Amino acid sequence: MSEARELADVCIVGAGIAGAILAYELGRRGIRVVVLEAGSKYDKQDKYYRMEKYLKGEDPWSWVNSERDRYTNAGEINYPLNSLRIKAVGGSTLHWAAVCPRLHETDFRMKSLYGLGEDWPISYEEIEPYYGKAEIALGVSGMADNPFASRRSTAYPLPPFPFSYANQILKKGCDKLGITMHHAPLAKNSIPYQSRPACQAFSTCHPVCPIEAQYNAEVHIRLAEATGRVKVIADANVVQLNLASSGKVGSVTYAKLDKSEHEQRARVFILAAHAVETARLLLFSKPRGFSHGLANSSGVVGKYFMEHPFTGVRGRLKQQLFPFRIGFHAAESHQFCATKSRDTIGAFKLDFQSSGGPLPRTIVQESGNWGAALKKEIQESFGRDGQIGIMLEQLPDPKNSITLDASVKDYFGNPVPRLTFFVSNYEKNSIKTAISKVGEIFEALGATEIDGNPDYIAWSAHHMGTCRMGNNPETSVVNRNLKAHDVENLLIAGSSVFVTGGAVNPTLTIAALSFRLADHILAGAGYL
Amino acid sequence: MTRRRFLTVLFASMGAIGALAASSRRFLEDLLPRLKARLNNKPTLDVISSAGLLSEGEMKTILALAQTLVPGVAMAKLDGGFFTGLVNHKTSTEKGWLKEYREAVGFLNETTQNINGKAKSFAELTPAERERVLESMLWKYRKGEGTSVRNQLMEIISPRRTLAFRAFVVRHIMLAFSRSPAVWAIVGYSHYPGVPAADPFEYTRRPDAASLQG
Repeated sequence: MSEARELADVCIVGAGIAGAILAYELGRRGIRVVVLEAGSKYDKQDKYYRMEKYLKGEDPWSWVNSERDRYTNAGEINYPLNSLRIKAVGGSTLHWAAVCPRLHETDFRMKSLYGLGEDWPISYEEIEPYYGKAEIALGVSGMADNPFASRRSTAYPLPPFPFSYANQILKKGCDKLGITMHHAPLAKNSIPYQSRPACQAFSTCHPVCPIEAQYNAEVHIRLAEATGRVKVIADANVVQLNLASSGKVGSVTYAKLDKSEHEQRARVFILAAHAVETARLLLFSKPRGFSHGLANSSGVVGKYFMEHPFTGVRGRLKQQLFPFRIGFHAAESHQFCATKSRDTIGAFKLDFQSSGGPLPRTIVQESGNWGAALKKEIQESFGRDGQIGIMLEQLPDPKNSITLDASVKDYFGNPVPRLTFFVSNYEKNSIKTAISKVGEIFEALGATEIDGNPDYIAWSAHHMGTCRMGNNPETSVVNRNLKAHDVENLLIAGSSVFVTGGAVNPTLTIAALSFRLADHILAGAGYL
Repeated sequence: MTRRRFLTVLFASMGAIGALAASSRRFLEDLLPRLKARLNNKPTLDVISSAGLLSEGEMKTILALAQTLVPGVAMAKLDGGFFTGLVNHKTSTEKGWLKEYREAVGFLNETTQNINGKAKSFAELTPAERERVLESMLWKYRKGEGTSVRNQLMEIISPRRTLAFRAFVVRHIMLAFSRSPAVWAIVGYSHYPGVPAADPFEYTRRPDAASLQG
């Protein structure tokens, strides 16, 4: 192992959005930070190249190292983990949809209100100012026209993206049923913002915006590095958290892809390696006194993994919807996110898609026609499929967990994560209810061929839980300030600390919690 | 009939029936693998054949084929050298493709002569005549019907060169076209994924009526 590097004030493991925001917030306020990222650092100039790869049907990121990123599945669901995350500087925001809603006030009090799951140790009111800060930092375009949203004290920093043509048609069906459609909050520039251009409708947002009109966490990594106090080390895989005699974490050992090992010392350590890898790091680091893994005296590390099951309904409409002219949905409905029947039917959010049905390319490839007959077929088939996506709440369940699979080792010889994952009857009932409700929208529009299959569940790539926060050290991993109950200088950031997940995209909450954590570290909490 | 004769006839008939049944069974047993083999008899490239370029005349025939396959509105959006470059690259860099393209040229011209008389080549036909020739060479199917009995039958009974024409040359042209931006012209889009919009908020309204006439 190489000699320990210079002592940093703070060492952050993971350069996704949580790590990036923390690095910038600490760095700009005089703190010396080292960020260790397991994945690579991509060149900003490569984004057009990556878009071209995507347009050719190739994986634009192709980040997976088949030996380093092994995992196994157990339980009911065969979860395609590596398709639903990115290990790289910027993390999963490199291929995200940039949808940035806030959790609802009720999401923080599930136990008190519905007798389900657990309450967060913090309230919506406590995090509300940080939501505003996060919206400004990420550049969220939006409009406060969501009647189901919880109170907000600040305006969106950018004007909203107007409803797409398809959204406007779907809205007619919603209006007939009393379903409110409102603007989607999006971390995309509707106007130029913070030295990044306005959206030019390349329509490839997910997985790559070539001009960075869409926010990704590389933005904050660059800002952090520009402070001169933040060093980002890519391809640095943390293989051990080391305790000092004080009982605090003294250093981390990380390995490069040539398997050379290095040590990084710091006064404070923040794990921000996403819900799977953060839990795994704690579980396989077993210093004396922590036989079940570091910070795991509760036995809760790895437990309560949550996702957002995703499904949808398609309806064939008489009119053209003119899809594929933007790469995102501009309209949502949170009407079913906090209903009174939530004790039996989980929350779900409706995403009114701007695009649906086959691309002209697909029609050509699947057709046996040519010439005029092919033209007729494309014109008849294209653009008449309305699509409404449904994102659902998943309750925290200790069965759904990340554990270590000792029988399979990764590239560095550590046990790989094993994901045990089930979908409960609560979620299955919610899916049926949601599909039925959305089917009514298409019926109101006179659609034919209305398809919604309750047995079809896709995933949102939202990994939450596994190191949840709480006031009780016996039932949670970190406290309300995200400090590990068991270790004085170990903090955890990111969605792994979520107690519940609601039915909305988690990234803005990750960002808000990161701003709150930075303030806490700097507010004389005794860390530095 | 005497009892002896009756028994002789009975046993002879039974023997004949048995022999017929046995041979039928053998026939069926033979037929199924033959059919199966035929079903699996997908044409393959002759990778021993040399790579190279089509002659000018051969290329003219292939361009005429592309003009028939690709809807006119999309063809007009393609650069003049799109298919020439595509075909030249394929035939000169991948063994077996020059042979398939030459076979296709021969097949097109032979079929043309069978239908239109010996005086003309495929490239010399009018668009309507080319369409008629192609209809006699290709069978159509629509999405989702790829496994229909008719299509399976076509794959069994069609000669190798019909199958190869469809599997290699036609497919190569159609795939290249489908992946080109020109395919968007059919639905009247001047802005499509990968290309910035002149007006980023165009997505909020119908495209211009003029562009939709496709």
